[in-house]
Amino acid sequence: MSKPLKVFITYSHKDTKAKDELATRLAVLRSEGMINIWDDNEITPGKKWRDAISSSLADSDLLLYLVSKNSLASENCNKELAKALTEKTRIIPIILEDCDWLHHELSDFQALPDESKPIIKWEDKSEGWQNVVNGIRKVIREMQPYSTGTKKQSKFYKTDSNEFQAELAFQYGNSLLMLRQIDRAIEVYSYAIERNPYAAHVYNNRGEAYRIKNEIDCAIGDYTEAIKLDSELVEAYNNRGVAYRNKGEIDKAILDYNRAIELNPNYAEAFVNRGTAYDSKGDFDQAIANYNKALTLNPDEPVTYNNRGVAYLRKGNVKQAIENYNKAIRLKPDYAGAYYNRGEALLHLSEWEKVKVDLIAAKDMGTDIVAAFRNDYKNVEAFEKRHLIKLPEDIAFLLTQRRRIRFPKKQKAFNTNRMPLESPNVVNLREQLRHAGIPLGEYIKAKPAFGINTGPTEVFVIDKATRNKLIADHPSSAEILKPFSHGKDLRRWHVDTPQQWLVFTYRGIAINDYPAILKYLEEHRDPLSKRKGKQEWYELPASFKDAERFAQPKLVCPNTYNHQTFAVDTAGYYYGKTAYLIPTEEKWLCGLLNSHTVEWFYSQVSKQLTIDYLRVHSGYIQQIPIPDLTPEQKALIGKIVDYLIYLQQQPTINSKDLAHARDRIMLGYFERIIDGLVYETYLREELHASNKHFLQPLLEEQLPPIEDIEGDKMSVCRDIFELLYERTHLVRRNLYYLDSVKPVRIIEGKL
Amino acid sequence: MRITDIEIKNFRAFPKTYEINLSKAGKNLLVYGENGSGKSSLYLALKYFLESGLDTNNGSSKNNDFDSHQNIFVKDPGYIRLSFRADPQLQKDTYEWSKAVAETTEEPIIETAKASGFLDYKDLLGVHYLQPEGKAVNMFDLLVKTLLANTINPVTDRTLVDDWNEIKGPYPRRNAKNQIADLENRIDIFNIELANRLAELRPKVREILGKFGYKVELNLDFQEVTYSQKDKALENQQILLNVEFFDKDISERYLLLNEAKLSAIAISIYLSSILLLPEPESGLRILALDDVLIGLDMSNRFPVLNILEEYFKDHQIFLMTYDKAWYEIAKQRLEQKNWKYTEFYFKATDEYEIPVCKEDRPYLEKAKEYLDENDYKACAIYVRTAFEAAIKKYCEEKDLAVKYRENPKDLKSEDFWVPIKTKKNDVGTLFLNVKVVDKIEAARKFTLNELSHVSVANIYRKELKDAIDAVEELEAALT
Repeated sequence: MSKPLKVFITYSHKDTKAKDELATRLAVLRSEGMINIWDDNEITPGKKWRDAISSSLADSDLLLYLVSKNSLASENCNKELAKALTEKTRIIPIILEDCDWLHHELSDFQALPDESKPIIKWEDKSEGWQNVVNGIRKVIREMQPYSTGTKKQSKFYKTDSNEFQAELAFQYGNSLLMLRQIDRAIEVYSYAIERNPYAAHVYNNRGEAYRIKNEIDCAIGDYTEAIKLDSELVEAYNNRGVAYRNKGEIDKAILDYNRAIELNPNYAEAFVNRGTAYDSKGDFDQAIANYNKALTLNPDEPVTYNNRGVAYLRKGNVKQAIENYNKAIRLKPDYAGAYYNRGEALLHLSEWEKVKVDLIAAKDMGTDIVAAFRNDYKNVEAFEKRHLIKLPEDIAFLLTQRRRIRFPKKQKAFNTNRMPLESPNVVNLREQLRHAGIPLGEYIKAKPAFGINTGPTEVFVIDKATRNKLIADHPSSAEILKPFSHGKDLRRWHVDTPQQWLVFTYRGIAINDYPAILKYLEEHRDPLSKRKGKQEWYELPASFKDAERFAQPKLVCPNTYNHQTFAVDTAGYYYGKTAYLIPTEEKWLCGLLNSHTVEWFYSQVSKQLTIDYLRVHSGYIQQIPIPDLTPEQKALIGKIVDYLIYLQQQPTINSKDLAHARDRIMLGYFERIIDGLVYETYLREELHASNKHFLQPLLEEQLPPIEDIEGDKMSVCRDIFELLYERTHLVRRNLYYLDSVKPVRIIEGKL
Repeated sequence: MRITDIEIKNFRAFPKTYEINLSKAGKNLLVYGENGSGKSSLYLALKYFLESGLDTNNGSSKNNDFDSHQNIFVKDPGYIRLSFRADPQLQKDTYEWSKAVAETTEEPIIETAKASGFLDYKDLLGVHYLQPEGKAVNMFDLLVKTLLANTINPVTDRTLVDDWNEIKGPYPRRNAKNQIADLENRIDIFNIELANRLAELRPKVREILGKFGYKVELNLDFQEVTYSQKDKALENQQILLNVEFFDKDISERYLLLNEAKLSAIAISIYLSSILLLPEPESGLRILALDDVLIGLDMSNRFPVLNILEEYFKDHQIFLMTYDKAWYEIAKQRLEQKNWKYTEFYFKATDEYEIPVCKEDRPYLEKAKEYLDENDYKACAIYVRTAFEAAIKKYCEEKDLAVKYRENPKDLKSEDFWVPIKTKKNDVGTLFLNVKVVDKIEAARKFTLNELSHVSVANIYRKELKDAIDAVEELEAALT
């Protein structure tokens, strides 16, 4: 899908009826976002008529000239035509009636209807007009570079959204890449980048396309851009590593693989690639270590076995090499390279019959065994001299018979988008949600970020006993011992009082003011000194400013999670790098971020690579759209968030005893209510069309803020729950039948 | 909203097209059908039609796929179409489910599906296998996998049986900590939901059971299901049914839990779970019961009708049975203005066997129709029914003395026929024309014999024709 073409209609005012007829018939094309139509009706009053026409003509893509005796005689029409001719605008004459147009400049252009049969001469004029529209549609298709045909449009379709068009182009590019139409794919990705220059995954995939084309520098440029946009895009590091290796820059490649592995320690492909890189450096032990690691992560990858075999063989360990090739072939019986490699290894054992079988198998599967052998040993004589083995004549012959195709060492690279093409329903809904509010990154004033890197040693994080001892040793310690939590300990809504403390030795701290702390850290000086970074051995990689960051009210969540897990922290706790902090006072945002809708949207845009858990990517989190709510609505969601914070701290809610099942249901039900409210804010029209309301019935209940409830808050909460859970209550009814609404079905995975 | 028309083509037992009109008001439907006559296919047509839109992503449910229900004898693609009216005055909306068209994901259909209940005799077969364990009966499987299977967890918005399927294995390896934690979390959710569900149901079940005349307090004792990593199994799959009798103290209580009572309890639990569902926007809720009353003796069937009339007024009810006697009784009992009656018979043609359904018209008329179709068996049933209806009606109207039987159910046609046959005019002569009496007597030997349906092969066209004539003359004489 491309941007709409501008279509200008030139006509004589005496033919206004015909013009209107044509405009009506083009309505479908217009609603599909294929075209925008201009005629002099579009000119706003007051604007100089002639100038306006002239300027809108200047940037038109297509001029439709309604040919009649009137228009041919009209001076204005001819001026418009002349202007179009100088602008090289594409022109289609549309013949309304018989007239002398064949002697006009217009006769140079292909006219409509077909065979220039004037509209007036068609028995059924409607048929004539349809013929015209069909013709125009054909021309527009030719002119639209990326349109993938007419798609059925839903009411959500926002064709003017750059992100949406970029996304469509991205997906189209992926399918082209899959079909190995590389040049076309690059063109389409470039278009996507033009539309949305902030999408890291598009750069990554264009890089892939360049790499396949062997334009390595372009590829590296793209991966680098992708990394700049999303410093955690592991695939881009891996792919750039592959590109560097192709260029022969092995050390740079290894650095990239290191980074990829650091970001995702379970990234088997990066280990394989790093192994291959070490192999090219001649460091076979490192290579084998990497392959071993890759195989623990993915034990069924034949390429890894093959590569490990190569490393063993180069180390001179023939038997182990052969075992690895056997394994590779068992996993992939048509693995030509592995047959060649096994044959080559068997040469060293002089098992000639087996050698022949393997070499012939490899050759039959398309491997150029002659080139491969020459690549490894130059020629038969060199091999014989080096290994003191005389090759039998038939094998020597096999290895010197020329054929073309070369067997390359296999490397793997991955596209970020491994998922199949998405259904238009899903894309539409995602884009609808994206436009349902302003991005979180713009909505909140301060910048969200991760906590402090306290690793790799855990010296800075201490338990209660150590804390008490440090304070007892010197009271100044208390100043820089901060209650601390790791991301993995976080739950929804409420942050439990941490049981750990952080030794907050920020950069530039006057460490001598804290003798007890210094003494404690001194005991671990060795590992602390080995850390990377600019800080002193006793310092954290954090500045004094981080203290402000933690002190303010914020929402926190772990960096990986199964379900949205945001909690409200107003207590000023400190966090490690496995927690993500969004500075804000607005508690209702916590409800929004924990909702089903946001979870779905985030899992869609973050292009998560595993289905098991989600991962915080700051760039994508900040894209979450925040709808424009009234203060009243925000207050309502905030109130329920407060209930949840309160409930989350109650013993019966945290008990597994089935005697408290009702209380547990209550917690879940309040969460569901927030889901309902959030659905209503994002999908107002759809919900209201099927008479599903949450805001109104909840506002009418005038729920008390939790802090205003006197006495037994828990029993009041239970009463509120029972009221809202009553089967005749609108909230309960609407929640129960919520998934009859289509977009809700999509989000809940039922459609 | 009510269902007003059902159109079924080439679905399961239905080859060709069948239409059932439930009037513009969308009446309830009472169906009599012999086994294999298509009665259950009608039940399943409604059930699968509604279910097909519910979770189109759930590949495990093959019921989404119309093709798997296509009538196997016919290649021509089938469909099910249901028409609804929000009001008898308004136009009907028709929705189709077929291989080509799936309109069952539309809002009103999905809401109706989530608001409706479908129970058939197979669901209740589990009752037969309930064995007392000690002094209690373990209802776990029957409740989780059948009766409460489709109740929806208000928190996860998934059905109980979906939540169950997630935890019933296969189980993670010993060192897969995350997976074990995840499993335990799911088990926790399942336990909470089931415990809560049982607590919610309790008062309603007691109320409904009371309608059966059982003054009992029902305890469904559920201790949480737990996971044993050692055995890789879920332990404690138990919901123990304890019954406390208000007015008796019987030590061996479980002995009183015979199959009929357990059936009544199971039905009560199911109906209660349906009654606790919120009302959908469209207002249409369906309750379909296919032969579920079979396990109940006659004295427990009437209470079910009472329950339906009292609690399921707003539901559109589909009641199917293969018990002809019960059908006739229920027909008398259920108000005609709310109900439509239909009968399915089985008819063999050259190509295949097809169900025949007949709307309710005068019995004799139907008998003639079946005679025309050479369906002697169905014809015989109708002639006999027409005969019995005519004499019963006459006896009641004229208040003739009928032989006393302890159970009115045991009254035979003989008991009504004899007083009419022997009734005298004011002048002392026989009220009925001798010729008519003779004809009836002749017919009674064969067609009107109550055992006639046992020996179907012995019914002949001529005799049927004679019987129809006889009953027609009798009817004329009696009016």
